[in-house]
Amino acid sequence: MVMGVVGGVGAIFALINFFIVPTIADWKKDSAKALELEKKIRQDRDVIRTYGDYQKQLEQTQESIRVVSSRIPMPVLGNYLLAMEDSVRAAALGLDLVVKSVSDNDIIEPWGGAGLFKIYRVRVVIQSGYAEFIRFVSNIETENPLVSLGGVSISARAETPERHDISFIVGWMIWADPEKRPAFITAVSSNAPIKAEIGNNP
Amino acid sequence: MNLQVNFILESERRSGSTISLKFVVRVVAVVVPTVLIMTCISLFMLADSASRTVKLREQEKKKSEPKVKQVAILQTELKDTQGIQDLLDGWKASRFEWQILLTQLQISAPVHLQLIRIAADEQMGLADNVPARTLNLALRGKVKGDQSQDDVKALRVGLKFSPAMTSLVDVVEVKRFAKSEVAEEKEEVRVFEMECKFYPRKIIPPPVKSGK
Repeated sequence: MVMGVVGGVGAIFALINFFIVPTIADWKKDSAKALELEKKIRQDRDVIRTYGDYQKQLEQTQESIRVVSSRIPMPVLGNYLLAMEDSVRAAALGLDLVVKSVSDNDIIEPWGGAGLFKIYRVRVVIQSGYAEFIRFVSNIETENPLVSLGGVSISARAETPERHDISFIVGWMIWADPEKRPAFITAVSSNAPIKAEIGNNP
Repeated sequence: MNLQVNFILESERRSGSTISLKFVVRVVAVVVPTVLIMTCISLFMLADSASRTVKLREQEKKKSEPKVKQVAILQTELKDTQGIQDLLDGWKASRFEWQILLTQLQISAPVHLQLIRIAADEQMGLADNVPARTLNLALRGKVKGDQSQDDVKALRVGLKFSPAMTSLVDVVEVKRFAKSEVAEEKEEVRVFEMECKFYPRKIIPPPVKSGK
């Protein structure tokens, strides 16, 4: 009987030690893991729910950029100057001024070398009255919001006080590498050179 | 003398209490294993259920992972695209509007003041470590009459403090105000030189080049 009792106690001890305790430990571990996974799944669902909003924002932003990028000229057989000159002369149509020359000035990279864009600049030389020059500038600035003027120099002419010698720089935003434009632009792109028309507001 | 004679044998002796030790041992021998077995079965079922739940959740998580990755990719694409938008907006917003500047110059110049040279120097520089456009405008002119000094001051005030210019112009300085050196010009003609320094206008830094 004593042996029986000892054996029984031993069996109970082994059962507790080798089955019950490890099973409880596993159960606790799995329960905690299940709770953690449930939390992560809830977080994932919240993230997945935002897909529609992000998609909509992306489409709106891309559309907005597409509209503006239609004002970014493309080279014509590698040449920008022809279209730029057309644009400048078109802005002078109907004004009492003389466009003497439109010539290459430089290309600058205001954002450093890694940007998507550069600025192509031409120098324009005209003879014009002050008021006519303001109208000319207004036409250029209104036609394309990405165009900017700079380097303005106005000198009076003794022989014709009502007309001045005016030189200024006009800069257009261009693609740093037209072949590497974002895909959403090339996917729906007119690729037509910018039209030089007054009042062609974006 | 009294004698106590006991005719009950040892083996026939019984306890006086209702619960005997033998009974207790028998009960314990049945109940304890039963409880232990029931406990083991319950624990096994709980553990098994928890394990299955974990496997189910892991499968669910695996299913949602590709969709979560898609959202992350979309977020990155949106950020890049918004960067391009910021760049275009920044360039547009930072340009100096020459129609306004030239018009304001015309309005601010008093009647007896004549500008003979306007020279603008626009450069790309830095403002607070951000690329920015800077502009300096140099004016040279003549003014005649008793009010010549006041006329030059009026031009300065117009360029600095008029509503169209006050947010654009940082400093306007008269660099020179002197008698004209041209012999033919009358005594009251003065020449002046003025410099306008504009506040830098920041452009937005570009996003990383996307070769998509």
